[in-house]
Amino acid sequence: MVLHALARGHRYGFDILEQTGLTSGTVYPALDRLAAEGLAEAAWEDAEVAHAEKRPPRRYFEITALGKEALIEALDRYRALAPLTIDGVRYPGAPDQA
Amino acid sequence: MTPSPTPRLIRILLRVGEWVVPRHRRGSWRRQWEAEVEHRRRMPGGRQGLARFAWGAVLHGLHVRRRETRMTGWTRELAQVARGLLRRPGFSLVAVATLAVGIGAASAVFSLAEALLLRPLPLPESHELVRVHSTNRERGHGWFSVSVPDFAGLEATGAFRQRSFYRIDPMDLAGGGDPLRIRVASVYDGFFETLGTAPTAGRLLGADDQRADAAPVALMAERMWVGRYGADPGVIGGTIRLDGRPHTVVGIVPDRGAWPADADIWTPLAWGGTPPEWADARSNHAWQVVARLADGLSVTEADERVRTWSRTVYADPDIDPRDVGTELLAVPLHSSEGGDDAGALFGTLGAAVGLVLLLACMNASGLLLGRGMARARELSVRAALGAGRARIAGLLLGETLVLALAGGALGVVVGVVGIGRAWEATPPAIRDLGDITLNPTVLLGALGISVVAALVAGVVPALKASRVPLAEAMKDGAAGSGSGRASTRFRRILVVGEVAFSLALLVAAGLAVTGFQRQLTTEPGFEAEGLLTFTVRLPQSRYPDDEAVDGVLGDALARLEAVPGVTGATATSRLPLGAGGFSLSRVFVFDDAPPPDGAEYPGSWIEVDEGWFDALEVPVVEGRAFEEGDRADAPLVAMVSRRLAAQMAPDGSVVGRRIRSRYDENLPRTVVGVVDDFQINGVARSVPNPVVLVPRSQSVRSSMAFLVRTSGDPGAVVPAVRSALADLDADLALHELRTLRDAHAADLAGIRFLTTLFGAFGTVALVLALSGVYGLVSLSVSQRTREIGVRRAMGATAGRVRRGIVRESLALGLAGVALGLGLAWVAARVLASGMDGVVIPEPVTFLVAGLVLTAGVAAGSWIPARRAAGIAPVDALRAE
Repeated sequence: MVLHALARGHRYGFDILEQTGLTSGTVYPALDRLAAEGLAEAAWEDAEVAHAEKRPPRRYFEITALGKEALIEALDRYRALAPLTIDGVRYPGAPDQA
Repeated sequence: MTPSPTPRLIRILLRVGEWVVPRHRRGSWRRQWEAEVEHRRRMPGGRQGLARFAWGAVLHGLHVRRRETRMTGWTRELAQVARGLLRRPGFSLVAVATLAVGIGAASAVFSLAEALLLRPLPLPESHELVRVHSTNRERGHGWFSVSVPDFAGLEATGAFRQRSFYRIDPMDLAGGGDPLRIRVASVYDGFFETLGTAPTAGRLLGADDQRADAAPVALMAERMWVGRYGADPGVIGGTIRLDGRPHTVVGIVPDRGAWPADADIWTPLAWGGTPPEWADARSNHAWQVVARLADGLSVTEADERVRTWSRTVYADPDIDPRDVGTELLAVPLHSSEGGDDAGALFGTLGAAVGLVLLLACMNASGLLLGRGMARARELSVRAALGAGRARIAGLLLGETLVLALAGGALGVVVGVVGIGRAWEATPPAIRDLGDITLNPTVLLGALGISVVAALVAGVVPALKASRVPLAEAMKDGAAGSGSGRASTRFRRILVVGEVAFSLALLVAAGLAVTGFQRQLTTEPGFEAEGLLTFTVRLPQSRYPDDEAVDGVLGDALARLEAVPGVTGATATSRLPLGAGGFSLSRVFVFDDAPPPDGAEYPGSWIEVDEGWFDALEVPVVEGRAFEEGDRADAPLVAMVSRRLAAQMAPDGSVVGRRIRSRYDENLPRTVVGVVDDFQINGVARSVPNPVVLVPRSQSVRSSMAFLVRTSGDPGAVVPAVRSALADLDADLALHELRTLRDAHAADLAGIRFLTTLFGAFGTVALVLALSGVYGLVSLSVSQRTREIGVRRAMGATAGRVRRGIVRESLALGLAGVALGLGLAWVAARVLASGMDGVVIPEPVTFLVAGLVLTAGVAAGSWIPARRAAGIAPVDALRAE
């Protein structure tokens, strides 16, 4: 899910958290893990930009080519699962390993 | 939105998270989270649930920490091993406790040795600093001081870059409060340069201070400066009086690295480069030498050079006959404080704890052996899955290491910290030896001991267990496989070894304790009750001659006797039990038959008044005591103690004969009586010192000790005694003011401490041996359940099975006792050679120790034997 959010252009922790609804205790470790496995790349925001907005510079994450491959593979795998409806909610797949 | 300060709770959570994150990741981690929190706060409604959001920081921190930790392989393995041990808490606890006993004892002794012998002094390049001592093995002397000609001769050895010497004297300090008896180090040129001391304030001594005509100056110890003068900077440049002589204080010596550590004041000898005639004699061994090694020279090399040089010097035929055999030696400065006794003490203690540690390791070894057998199947599964023998042995050794480290940690807590606490309660005489602390050296030592213990305890069981025959172990009834012949042999060796070593330890502890008991129950030879003792020193500046000294002492005695509650007072040069005064050992010869024809006899020289005999209640056994008539102008007389009398005249009487000593200006004295032996030096010497008594009126000294007999509690008259003497001379300081009863108790306290220590070693040895034997026999029985079942099924009675097991254990136990008696004999010989009061052969101790251990082995095997005999044959066979 985190990889998915990254691929959709959400680039830093809190943004991804908002997007996925996961807790902070899940998202940040997940981001680290993705970075460690080479599926995402971390970089610090330009200090001048942050300064202009009067806030500390953020740590941005970006999906890598390897990350994209992994995401496609995961999406393929989940797509292979039959869609499921539980208590009226339709689930296209379980949370991915990311 | 205007930024507001981050709420406190959020800051705390971020701080916690940061603390969890490994140090090298903290910077980046913190910046990331600051940005995230800031962003979240700026969101509309972002303050809600902010704490929950920030909690993620802590979880994230934990995650980072886990990732970092997981990267090293061996920590994971270690954790795995620890988890495995935690699954068998019973086994692990017993093993850890057993090892903790051994490692704790060893670490405690090591920490003591560290404090005394190993800790470097806080001085620059302190490893280069040495002390030079004289020694004379031929005459049975330990270390003693060095003479000025010997000091000068050290130049020839080329072993030292710098060197100097000093002497410690007690003096009275006046100025800044009540008069005080202090220790003054008089130092020769270059003393502080040799040590490399830097002053806390002011300056140290310079070459000008050592000129013969220099104005007297003094340096003060930091603790005295702080304690007595409140660190007043005005002290520097001010004047103090030492034995009445004014000295200008020019600097403060820091407590850390002060040498000698117990000096209060340092003054220059001010010899102007040339020693005075009185000091410049080869036989005047009066100086403590400190030196700095020449570049690149080790202590051992310097020691060798010094010894070689001194042997040539003392081989000179013109040397004073008493100096024949004298040798000089060099030892590291930091280990010289404990004296040469410390080395012997640690030899004994080290051997004792070594045995305790060995016993603990053997016990742990037995436990591990049992565990390995019980796990035969698990280990064979591992082997079947491809784990090599080395890997399995490694795993088992790893387990042992974890156990030993846990045991070591526990041992350090109990041993070192516990001993440190107990140290506070020990008698000052022992406590002053060193300051026990838990420092990196001690921890490293304990770690080393633990690793050695793990190897000793773990290697054999690990190798045995890793040699599991695969097919056999996998079969049903595998429990029998561990009891192979080799394992049985190892188990038997363990039993025999445990019994033997614990017997040696038990006998040694028993001998030491009985030796100490003998000292404790030794009668001091005088009546200690109701006596108050103290010493005074009469400064030469105010009491320049014998007449003045005699006058003030007479006045003092008269005033003391007038104090209510005091029934008598007397003056002497020396108090019993080491308190105050001089204990000059002099050599006496018969006036009519001096050497080389006659023999010479060493004895302690004590000056006493007529009242001395009544005050101490030392009986006169022959001849007469001193009388009023033994004045300075009367014929010179002396008395000797019974022991000395027996030495001097084994077959006849010494009374009426004349003796003299070159240390008494060779004046012949007629022996008029013999007193019973008494303990002048304390009970630690089981043999009372030979003593010569002379009337004080025929030999006046400036240092005097007083004995005050009281009708009630001697402590109650202390204020009145003080004020009586203050009336006489307000500058007189009373030293070592105590009751003789307290002095006696303090003297015994050191021995009590050692008694307890050795008693504890003996007890620990016994407990370890018994629990070890019990464990090993139990192991053997549980392994033989099947065999026992078969025997029972074949008609063996329960009694017969029981007897068989006990008999086998007893045979092993007796073999252990036989071996142990041999070891104990060696231990006893070593002990007796180094300790007063230990007498061998002492058959009772050997017999009791042997019987106790044999009985212990029988009892230790009885319980498992009974269990084995109680097994119903059917159950035994089914159990397999």
